[in-house]
Amino acid sequence: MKRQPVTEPDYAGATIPYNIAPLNFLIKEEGTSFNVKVVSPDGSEMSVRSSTGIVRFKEKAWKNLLSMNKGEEVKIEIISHERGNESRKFTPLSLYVAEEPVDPFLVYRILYPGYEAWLDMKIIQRSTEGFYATSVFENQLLDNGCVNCHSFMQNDPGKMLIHVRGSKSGTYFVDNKDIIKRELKTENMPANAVYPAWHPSGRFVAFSSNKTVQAFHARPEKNIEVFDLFSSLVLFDVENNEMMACNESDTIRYMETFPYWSPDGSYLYYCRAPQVGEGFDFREVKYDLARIPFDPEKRSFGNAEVIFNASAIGKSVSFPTVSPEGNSVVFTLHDYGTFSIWHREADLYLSNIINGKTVKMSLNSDESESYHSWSSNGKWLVFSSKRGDGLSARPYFAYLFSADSTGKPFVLPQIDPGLYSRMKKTFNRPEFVTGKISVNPRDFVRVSSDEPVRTTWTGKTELKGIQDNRYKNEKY
Amino acid sequence: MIKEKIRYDYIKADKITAVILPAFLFAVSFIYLYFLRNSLFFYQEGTSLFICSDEYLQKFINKPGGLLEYTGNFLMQGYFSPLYGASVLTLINVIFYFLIVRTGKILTGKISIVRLFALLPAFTLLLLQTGYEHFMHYNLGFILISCYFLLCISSKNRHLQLILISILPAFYYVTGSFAIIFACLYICWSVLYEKGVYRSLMPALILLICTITWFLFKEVLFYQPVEKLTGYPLPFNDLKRFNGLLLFLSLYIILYPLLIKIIDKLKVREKISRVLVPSLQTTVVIMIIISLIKLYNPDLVRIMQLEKMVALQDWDGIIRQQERFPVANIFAQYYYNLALTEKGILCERMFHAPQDFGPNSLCLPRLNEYYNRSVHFYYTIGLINAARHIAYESMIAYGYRPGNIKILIKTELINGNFRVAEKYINDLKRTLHYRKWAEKYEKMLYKPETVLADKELAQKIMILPGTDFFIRPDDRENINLLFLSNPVNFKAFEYRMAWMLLEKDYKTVVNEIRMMKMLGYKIIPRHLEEAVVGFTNITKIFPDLGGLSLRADAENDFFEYGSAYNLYSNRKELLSEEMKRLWGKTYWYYLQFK
Repeated sequence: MKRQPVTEPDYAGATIPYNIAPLNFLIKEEGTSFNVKVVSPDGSEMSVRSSTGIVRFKEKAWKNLLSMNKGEEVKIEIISHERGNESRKFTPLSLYVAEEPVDPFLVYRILYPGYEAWLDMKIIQRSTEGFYATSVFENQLLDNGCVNCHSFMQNDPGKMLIHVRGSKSGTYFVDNKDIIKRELKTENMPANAVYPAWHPSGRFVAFSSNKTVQAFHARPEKNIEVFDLFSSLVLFDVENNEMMACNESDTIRYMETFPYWSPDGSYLYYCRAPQVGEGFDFREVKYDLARIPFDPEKRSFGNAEVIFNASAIGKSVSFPTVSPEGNSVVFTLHDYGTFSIWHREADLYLSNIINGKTVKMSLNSDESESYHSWSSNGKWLVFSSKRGDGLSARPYFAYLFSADSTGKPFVLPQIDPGLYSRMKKTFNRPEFVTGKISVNPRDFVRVSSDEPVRTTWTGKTELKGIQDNRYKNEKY
Repeated sequence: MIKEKIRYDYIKADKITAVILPAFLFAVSFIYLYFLRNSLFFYQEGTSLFICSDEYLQKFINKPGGLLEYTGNFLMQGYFSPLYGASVLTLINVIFYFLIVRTGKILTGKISIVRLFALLPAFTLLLLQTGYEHFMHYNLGFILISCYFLLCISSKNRHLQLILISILPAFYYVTGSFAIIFACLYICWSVLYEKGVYRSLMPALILLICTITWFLFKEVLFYQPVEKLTGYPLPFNDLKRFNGLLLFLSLYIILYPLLIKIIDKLKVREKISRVLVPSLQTTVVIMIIISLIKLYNPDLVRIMQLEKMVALQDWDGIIRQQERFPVANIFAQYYYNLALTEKGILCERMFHAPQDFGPNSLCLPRLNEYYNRSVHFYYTIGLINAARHIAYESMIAYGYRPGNIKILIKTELINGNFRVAEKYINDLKRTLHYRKWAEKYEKMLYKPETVLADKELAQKIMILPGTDFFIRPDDRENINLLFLSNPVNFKAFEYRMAWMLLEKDYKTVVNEIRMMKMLGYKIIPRHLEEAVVGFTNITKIFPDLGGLSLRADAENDFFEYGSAYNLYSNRKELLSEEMKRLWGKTYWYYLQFK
């Protein structure tokens, strides 16, 4: 048969790391049974027979096969058998095995892609090399408070933080086995600190302090709009427990959000848009990609420069992330605003910091591609994509051959390959980490009743709050 | 000889009681539940959706007590049949009765008094079952406690007893906080009935097992908060949430061995006992019947019937029932207005049943107990995104329910989100009762032309907002924005007019009538006509009706209304009542007397 079989998930042609968990899949073809054979250039083979179409590979054999074929192409041959001894042999599926491994764990938040209500939320660490998964945080242990923005210092599982809202609210800083609950918001800040970014030294964390509102569209094409009324970058000094404004001169003129440090910590990348005024049209709010130099010794920032002028082309940037070697930045580009996850047109772009060249990445789909993070070796990118059903995000892995070339992405493999087609929950903020996180949900419970360590504000500037009554007057 | 005769009669009477009491329990349970409380089954069936899948099971197995709820939901999926529901609950009551009798028999030889004391918890359970929030897993919890306890005390073999007690952690896992009742019951029994060292050893053993189990559950096996480990399904950690009857039943079961012990100690002469026991049994029976009668609330039953008709989209049935048996309840009147709108006769007929809540009965606030019901308004007027949003939030907050999943399927199909709709359809296909319903909509997946061929969905597509806007917290604004964005949305137009009628803003109503011909109206709906006639007579100005005209009888009726008013205006005690009788179905009556 001169075509490839339809499979779910579609792994055909994907570039995969040699240490990835078995890519189990479901054959969506007619047949009473299927013979599946993985063949590799070194001659090693692996066979699976399935009567249901569900193909599950043995972990050990799978790993052996891939690790023996780094940098090679392996093929998956599928033959379907039908009643009356008829057989169909499909064109084999190819998998390209990259030489570089992916980080061994992926951390993500799992929840319903809801709008206002939530009940259960979990932060899960999942082995990328197998199917082992365990909870890092479960919100039912903390009065069902919302948990968000888990963030790591350069893929380090021992250095993380999460925000918890509700009765046990606070920002929980994890330092290996120790957890400290902090109250980051000071009186000088009009809103909570969100979207954390760890400075590579571990001494600072940049946040943005945002006043966010949401509204629901009446027409079917769009669902929800989330936008900021104001937002400013703030810097938290972990050692001195001090919070300060990042860019004092720009605080009022621009809305700043989504901070991200360069790997050497000398620049803070972020998105900025002119501060909206009364009666603003949310569709006209376009964020550019900017960066600002930082001196960690003096805790001071230089002058901001725009790296990618998205507003000039009628677009808006969110989620900039700089590659570990510091040469390129990947960001999400969409029509307007900051909340790309609800924008179907949102795609990932890669900008070369050295020569300024920006390209749309080949990994995009017709649905939203938004949050993304780099592996510690800079060769893999994990990103949220809603290409499955347009509603729930799934973590896709993509290999970066070069600045403008990526392998075909593939979805995080599951032991049950039909899981994604049934599952309604979403995978939020996928982040690679280089090892297992050593705290578990009970560790957070133990500190949750502690009085939070309150942060003090330092610096000249107070963040100016602007009343949000203009939201009622938006043009639309 | 006479004494023997009396004794013989007493034994015979006792044997009759042994049959009559459970038969009576059976009859009362079944008749009450099937004939007078059948709306309960519809309500409870609608609060959970048992899906035959691993994912559904996983939601329950991660906490002690989850399996009990899972089993309860499994049994409740048949509640779409009141006959099934009444039969299952009746069976549970009778089984519970026999378990208590059997337990009593082991504890004492005074069987007739045991029957009396078994009747009380069995009827308490029946009384609890009449509550809409008393779900099947509560019944199962009490049955399992009784079974387990009976098993434990039936055995004379100490090793077997210890083995049975050692499975308490598994019992805790299955029944959750019901295990606390069992532990207390067992301790109570041990203290009163065990002898020697076992009198203190067994309670200590139970406490030890409970402590170790609790520690293991909390620190090793489950990521569940303390409140869940001790207060699910029964909220022992929050007695305020405890229904009085539930507390009574729990305490009754715990103290049952003590009760039997006290009875055992009482020296009542046989002669007195022969009179006392039947009298007490009769008293209990009478009390139960009175309680059941008192619990019967016809209005509540009617509201539940209306809800059932909403689920079945039996709009004629809703209109008929609310006009024949009007209920002065906001939900009932909301459903009535909804049904009228679906039939396209809101402004023609809305005052044929009471409108006691003004515009509040047109749409419900999106909070608390109103939340799940508010979705119907948005779906009816064509604000499909809002309906989908509420159904989705409901699914998250309240779990899968037939109501929210059905709305999600329809709204996703209307919006053309077939991949998402498919997921919900696949879920419904794995249910007992909704498989066929799901298969109907499955045929529409990825075929927009099939969606358009469906009368209901096509009509909703027709009235979708023509241009985009943000959905507002104030539904009046939503109605107006919806109408402005799509002027062929008659439902939005009628809601807009009804809102003004209910606010008694008849001047604006009259002013809007001139655009009705352009909207396609050929006649003016009755209540709008009434507003026009009223306006004309008050202001002496005949408004521009945009080319439409009043029906001939409209003005005549108004004059007759006026005559009747004049007739009774001097008899104030009769005025309102008579005007309601004669003209209660008119806007004029609403305007003047509401």
